Amino acid sequence: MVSLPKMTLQELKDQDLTSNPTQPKENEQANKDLKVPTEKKEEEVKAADKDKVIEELSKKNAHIAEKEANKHEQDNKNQGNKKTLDELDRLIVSGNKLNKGTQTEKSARELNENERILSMLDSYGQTIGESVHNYWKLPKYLLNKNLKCRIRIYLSKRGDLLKFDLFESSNNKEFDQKAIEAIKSASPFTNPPSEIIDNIRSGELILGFPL
Amino acid sequence: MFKFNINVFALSIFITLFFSSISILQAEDKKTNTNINIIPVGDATLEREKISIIPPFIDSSLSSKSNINANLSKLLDGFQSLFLNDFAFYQNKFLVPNYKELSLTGDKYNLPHLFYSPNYELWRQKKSDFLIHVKGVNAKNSLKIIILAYDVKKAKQIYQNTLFVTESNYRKEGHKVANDIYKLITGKESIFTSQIVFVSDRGSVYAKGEVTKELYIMDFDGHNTTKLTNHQGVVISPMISKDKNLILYSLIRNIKGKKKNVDLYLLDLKSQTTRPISTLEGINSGAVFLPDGENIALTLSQNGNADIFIMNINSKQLRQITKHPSEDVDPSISHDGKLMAFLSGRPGRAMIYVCDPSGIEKDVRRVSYVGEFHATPRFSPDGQEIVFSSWVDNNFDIFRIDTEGKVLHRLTKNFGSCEEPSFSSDNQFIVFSSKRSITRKTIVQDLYIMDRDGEIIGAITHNIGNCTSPRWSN
Repeated sequence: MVSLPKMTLQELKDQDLTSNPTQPKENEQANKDLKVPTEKKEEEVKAADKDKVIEELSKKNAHIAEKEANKHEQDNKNQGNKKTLDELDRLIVSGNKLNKGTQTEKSARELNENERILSMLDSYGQTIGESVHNYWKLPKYLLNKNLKCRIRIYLSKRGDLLKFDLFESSNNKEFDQKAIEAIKSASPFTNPPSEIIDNIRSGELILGFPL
Repeated sequence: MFKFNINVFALSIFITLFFSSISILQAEDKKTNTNINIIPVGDATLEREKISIIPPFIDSSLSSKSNINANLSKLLDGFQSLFLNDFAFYQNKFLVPNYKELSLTGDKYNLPHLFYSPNYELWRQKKSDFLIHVKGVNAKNSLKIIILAYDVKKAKQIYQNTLFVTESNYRKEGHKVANDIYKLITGKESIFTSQIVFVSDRGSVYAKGEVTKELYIMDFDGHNTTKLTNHQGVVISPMISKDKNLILYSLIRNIKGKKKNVDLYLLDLKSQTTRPISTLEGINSGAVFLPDGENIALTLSQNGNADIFIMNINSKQLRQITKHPSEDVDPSISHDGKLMAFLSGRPGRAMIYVCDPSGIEKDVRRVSYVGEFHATPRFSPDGQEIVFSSWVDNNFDIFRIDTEGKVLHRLTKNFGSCEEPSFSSDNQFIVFSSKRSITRKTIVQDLYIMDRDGEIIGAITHNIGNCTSPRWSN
């Protein structure tokens, strides 16, 4: 500290909300880590998480990764070049996995069917995400802390919450609890399409707070 | 022909093997279940409990058009507004809709369907978490008020109280009830029953050089301002005790034949008596109570140099805490008495230090390093932070630093010259004085309240002179 801060705490918070939403921030840091080693431990941990995500995504169908990338671009208006770069990175990474291929007629049919199911799962997941968002509330002292957690949900064929588990904790008990409460309050969810009943029952949906 | 057949046979075997290998791949996929769909829920919104304060129900005994009933209705309105204002203070915890936002149909006062057990379903649809209903009944020309509070989610009544109120006591009683309900909802004490002592120069005629500053006390919301002294001198640095019975303050007074001194007085609000408790030569000021209520820490300059001492207000016994050739002033004691924060000129300019008040110059540690000079360091109730004012850009502004001196936040900017901050006992709010120039000749200094992060809630003094040195009670 060379001099007293010029901005008040309120001004810094407002700035945080408008120009640096948590999403691009994390992506930027992940990028930095992939290319240049960072000094701060915090950033390393965040990047490690991101690596994990990229790993998971790389196993997904390329079609779904593309859809998610498109959706993120739509959701976030404050897009920097680094964000798009990360999208491309992910696309490239996910495209590098073994594609099921169109080598035989039978495979081609399966691929289309798979695509269809995954896209239905994705849109059903979106509706759940929106519904949970309405109940996703935090007391002031937990907001703007860059905390994040992921909850895996298992739904019945009618959309009831069968069970859930903590896929990734924020290391803050209260934060995790608030996320779980939001899911419980939002359930039961709307009737899912019959094709994805197995998927939602086996916990293929994971809700990210905030992502 | 045979050769061809062998080739076809070989090919078919190859194809079959290929197919089966594909199915193995698929099965493996299923086993490891790599199909994970991560759905982002997005950023959370601020959680606030919605408290709907239903417009007061007026019993038929009050609705006839007599003078008394008109006054009682006004009283009921006042009681209602008090609730609205109190809960609205905690804007980060509660959402308190006004009457219009409640969108209730029917006459403002007579909503018979709310008189008995509330329609919880209706309120659930309005997304209200709690309901407060005030009902007024004429009881032999005085106002009988029944207050009911309900938890909408649990669909049950959580509070009931009956009061007989008059013009003079309705605020005190109302704040007590609001505090009771606040405690039920949050489990904590609120600020609703707290007071603020301060100094005002009201009545002074600066042009004639007749400047007098007296001690005042008011409710935390600016109501019930009461003048407590009439010394015709200049009162400075007031402090109120934990039990709210005693007030310490210093007085600068011009007495003919005597040298100007800054003497320390103790005002006992219960017995309505005032007595001087430290009149040593020089400065006797900036006094604050220690947790035991019997000892105080204050600045003395009897030795020619300002240092901080601990004094027993009964025995007057002194114990020196700081001993340094530079000026050490403005003590602030943490709630558990283990730390003392103070202002010291030892590094060449006024900086904030902490020390252990159980010894002399014990464990002295510098807390602030930046800034030109600081003033009035005060501990937060939990002892974790120190709030103070600092000279920056030709003005004072208020800052908040943690006791370790690691995290520094600026709380005010472009809001006049902001000084003498004091925390509320629940750690949520800070009262301070803000001085601004209206014209080149006139200045106005009022007391304001902001939340601990610097969000200004509003002014609590208006047109009662230039107000300074606020201290928030329990």
